[in-house]
Amino acid sequence: MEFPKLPTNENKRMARLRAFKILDTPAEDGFDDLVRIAAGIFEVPIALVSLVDENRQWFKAKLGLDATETPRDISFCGHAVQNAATLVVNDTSKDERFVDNPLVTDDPNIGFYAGAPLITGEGEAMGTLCVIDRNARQPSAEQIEALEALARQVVSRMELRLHLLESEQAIAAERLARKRIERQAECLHRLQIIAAQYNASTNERIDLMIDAGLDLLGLHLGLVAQVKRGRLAIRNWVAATDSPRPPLDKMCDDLWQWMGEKVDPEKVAATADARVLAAQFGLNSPIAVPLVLDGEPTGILLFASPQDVQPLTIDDHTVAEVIADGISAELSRHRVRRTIREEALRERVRSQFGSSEDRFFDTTHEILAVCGFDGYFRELNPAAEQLLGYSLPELMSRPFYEFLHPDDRDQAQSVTSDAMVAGSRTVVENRFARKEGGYRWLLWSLAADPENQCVYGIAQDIGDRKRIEKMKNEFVSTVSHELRTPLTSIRGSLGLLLGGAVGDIPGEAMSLVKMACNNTDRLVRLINDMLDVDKIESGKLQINRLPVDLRKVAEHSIAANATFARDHGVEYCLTEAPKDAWVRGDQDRLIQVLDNLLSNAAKYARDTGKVNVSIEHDKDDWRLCVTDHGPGIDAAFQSQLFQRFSQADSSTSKSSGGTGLGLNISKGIVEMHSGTMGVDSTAGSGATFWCKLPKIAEQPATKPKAAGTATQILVVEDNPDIAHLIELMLSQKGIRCDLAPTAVEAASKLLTNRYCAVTLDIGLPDEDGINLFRRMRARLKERMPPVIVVSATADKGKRELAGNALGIVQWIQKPIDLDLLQNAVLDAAKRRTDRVRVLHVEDDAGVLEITQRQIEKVADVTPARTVQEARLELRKNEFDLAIIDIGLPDGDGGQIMHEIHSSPAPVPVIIYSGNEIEQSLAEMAEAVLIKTKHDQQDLLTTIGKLLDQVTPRDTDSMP
Amino acid sequence: MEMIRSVLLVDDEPDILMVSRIALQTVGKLEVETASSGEEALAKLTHAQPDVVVLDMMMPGMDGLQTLNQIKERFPSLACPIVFMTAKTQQAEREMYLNAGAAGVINKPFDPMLLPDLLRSIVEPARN
Repeated sequence: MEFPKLPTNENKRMARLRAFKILDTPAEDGFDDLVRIAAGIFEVPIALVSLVDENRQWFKAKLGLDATETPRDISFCGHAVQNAATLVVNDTSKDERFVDNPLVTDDPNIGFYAGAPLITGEGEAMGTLCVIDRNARQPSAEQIEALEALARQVVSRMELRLHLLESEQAIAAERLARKRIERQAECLHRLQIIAAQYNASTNERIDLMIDAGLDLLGLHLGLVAQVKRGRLAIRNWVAATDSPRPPLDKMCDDLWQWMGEKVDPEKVAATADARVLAAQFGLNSPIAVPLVLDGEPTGILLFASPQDVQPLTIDDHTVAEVIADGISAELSRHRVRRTIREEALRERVRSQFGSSEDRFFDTTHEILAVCGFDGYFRELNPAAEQLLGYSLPELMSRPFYEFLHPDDRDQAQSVTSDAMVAGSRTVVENRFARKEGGYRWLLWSLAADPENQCVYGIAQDIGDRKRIEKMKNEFVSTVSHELRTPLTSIRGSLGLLLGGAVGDIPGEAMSLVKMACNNTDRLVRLINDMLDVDKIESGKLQINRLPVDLRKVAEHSIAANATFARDHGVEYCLTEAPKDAWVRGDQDRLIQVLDNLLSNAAKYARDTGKVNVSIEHDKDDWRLCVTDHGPGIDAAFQSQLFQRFSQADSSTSKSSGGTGLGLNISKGIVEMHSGTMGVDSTAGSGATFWCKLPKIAEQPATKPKAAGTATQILVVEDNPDIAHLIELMLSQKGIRCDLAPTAVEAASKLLTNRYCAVTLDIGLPDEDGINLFRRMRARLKERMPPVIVVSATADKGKRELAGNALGIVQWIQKPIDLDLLQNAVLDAAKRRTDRVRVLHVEDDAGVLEITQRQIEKVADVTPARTVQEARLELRKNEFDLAIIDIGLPDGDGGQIMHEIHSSPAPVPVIIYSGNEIEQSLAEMAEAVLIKTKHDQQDLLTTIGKLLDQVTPRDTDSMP
Repeated sequence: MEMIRSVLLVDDEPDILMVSRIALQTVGKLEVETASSGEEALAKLTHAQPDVVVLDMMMPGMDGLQTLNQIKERFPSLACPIVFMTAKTQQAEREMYLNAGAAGVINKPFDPMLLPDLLRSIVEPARN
């Protein structure tokens, strides 16, 4: 037997064959058809497209053969390839080269073989198109020619196939490239838009660029940090989610250490790969890119996400690089502008003050400062050294807020950043550290200069004023206490007399006692109002700054004062109230203002019918108006109205029961909301009191607080108006009400539902409320929710029960006092709604769900499926109990155990694990359950036991 | 839940002491013991065991907070709740009292007819 030899061009031939990318690919119809035609022409059972590689022949198409390849040594085609010429063996038994070839002596017992080479390029043969018969044959010349023609077809098919393949790949690559280009174009486009915002500051632009990056990358946290005074300081950061901010400063410090206290571009890239951030700071998919200014790497741009996000691609890095280029360019422009401006500023100061500048600057007792928007002082006068004890270089080497009292930092930051944005002037008081310890109170007058990116400030030492203020506050507080003390015994004695606690009092005497009692109440109100006035005057009044819906304020005040209005023969009508009347402020204080206006209208426009309340557009403000049809107010008196103790007609003050401070307080409150207050009136035709408050954008409708049965109360009241009023009052505090107009309905609802409290009217149509209460208490025992009696005859009911009122937490006389009701219900509800908070760390969804279902009645369960999730939850929330699985997808529950154990207030832990637990770990836990030994029921029993021990913090209970 | 039967009232103002005593006795049907200073209260606690102690906040000598701390230190076995009465009604002060271990705070001036129920509503859930 003769083995085929390698052709002289074997290397080139193999390279070309591989280039066809056809070896070991699936069969294709085109090639199958060609072998079928070849077999037909020769009328033989076997035909093949055989491709010869290093040590085998492999069949791209085959007919009549099961094998997919045979060794090259014994192949016939190897010979055809060797010579790149057609090989015809008419009778293998007579050919020495093949007579003992295993393919002849054994299956498929080749008798006849004809193979035409598949020639490409410069004459290299890839293999053959061959036909085979088990018997010897004598093919005609035409048949051989046909075989060679078909072989050329096979080659052109191979070439066509390759061509197609290449174009498909090219198209895919182009698509990818286009997508990449489009993304970069989008990125550049956004950067251009940002660059074109001429009125935006550098900071705003960088924030916008980070924002664009986050959007394009689908990440949630971006920051720019710059090398500053030997550390990596955060310049800008943007978070696209409201997840808590990781300790970014610490992260930058760590990065700085990691990079060897310089910005090393290679390390920056490696940081992203190493994912050290992910592990340490709970961030995923970090991309870091160096920021290069004037050829020097001077900072980093970093994107990441506290959430799990899609893995990043090389494209994402390109996007980050484009954004980094944009930010670098912005920083470089900023640097240039700042240098130019500082120069110009100095020039201006020099030209304005001439030689007196220095003396003026140096001799004043007040601190004169120029502070950059970056938080560092640029210039300070010697007074700063004298007042604070620090040297000027010390003061200028750290951001100014590091010198502030920790309690004053937030306020300083918000005030200065507001001023920076608006370029406005502002005044702020804060405490500055002194080198020898302690703080000095300073009053700052600040003027921002956005063009020069700085704030000019003058600070005065107000230590003496603060001391006097403190003394005055203590004085006011003491006086109010001293006044309340005698009032307590007077009001108490009168109350006992009036309540009949010490026997009956004859009619005439009763009315005198009542009068004394009313006037005592008035004195108490006066003291409260005086405290309010004092708080407003001294700027001590704390005002929330939250979105407030004025319509809600109006609806609330109208409902709360309705009874008062009826008693005075008027009715409040909300005539105009747009849906989007949002202002920023303190809802309770705004209600206080409107309450004051409404009760004034009722008192001074007695028996005149309608009092209209409206909320109107007034340019950038909302105008809240209360219009009465009373006697009106004399023009001469209108200006005095808002002063203290001014009531138009001194005779009315006697009947009105007012303190004469209401309008003054209201005006103060409105002004603290950046609003104005006034009155329009002509004598004889009514008055309109109005206040104008700045509009804010419409707020998204907030969903009412998800309230389970835990925050639901039952309102037992037969009068639908009053039931609605109670519902309205309680809905403000996020409490849902279930209404029961009859005793029968109330009883059935109490038996089937759980409520955190009940408000009870005594005069019900079908049963006395007290009776109902006694009946239900006997039936429900401990399950009976706390009861608040709201009734016109509350006093009478109370006397009937005389000391047997266990379970009744409050008696509220109609007309209903809003605060009294809200507080009573909140106090009662609090006892029931303080639920145990459980963290359940478990990767098995089944275990999580079953556990949650079983304990959700008494506990709020927060699931965490990984170590990382558990860490995040522990950082975000407080828990009363943790259930921890040890084998977690991203690590070991033991890590969490150690962290909990070393925290200042360790949460009790139940281990619920598939594996045996080390003794040291078990000692940290309250209980250890092994999944193979203990089932779900054991877990629930253990949780139940622990939940009884672990009670939520309850401020009302004794330790 | 056990009902309260006896109260120790501590206030340096004799008038207020009288008003609250009458309110708790006649309206609330409670047994009332009184003391006009923190020191006197501590002395009375050596032989009396009230169900609840009501302490005025501002008193000469020991004030309410000091008295509370002394009671807890000297009578650790006395598990009765302590309620403050105060004319200082600022929210921050209220919270401070609760944090100090008071079961509740009653503001002055109070309505004597409501005082017993107010006291019960503070104390009885806490005793549970």
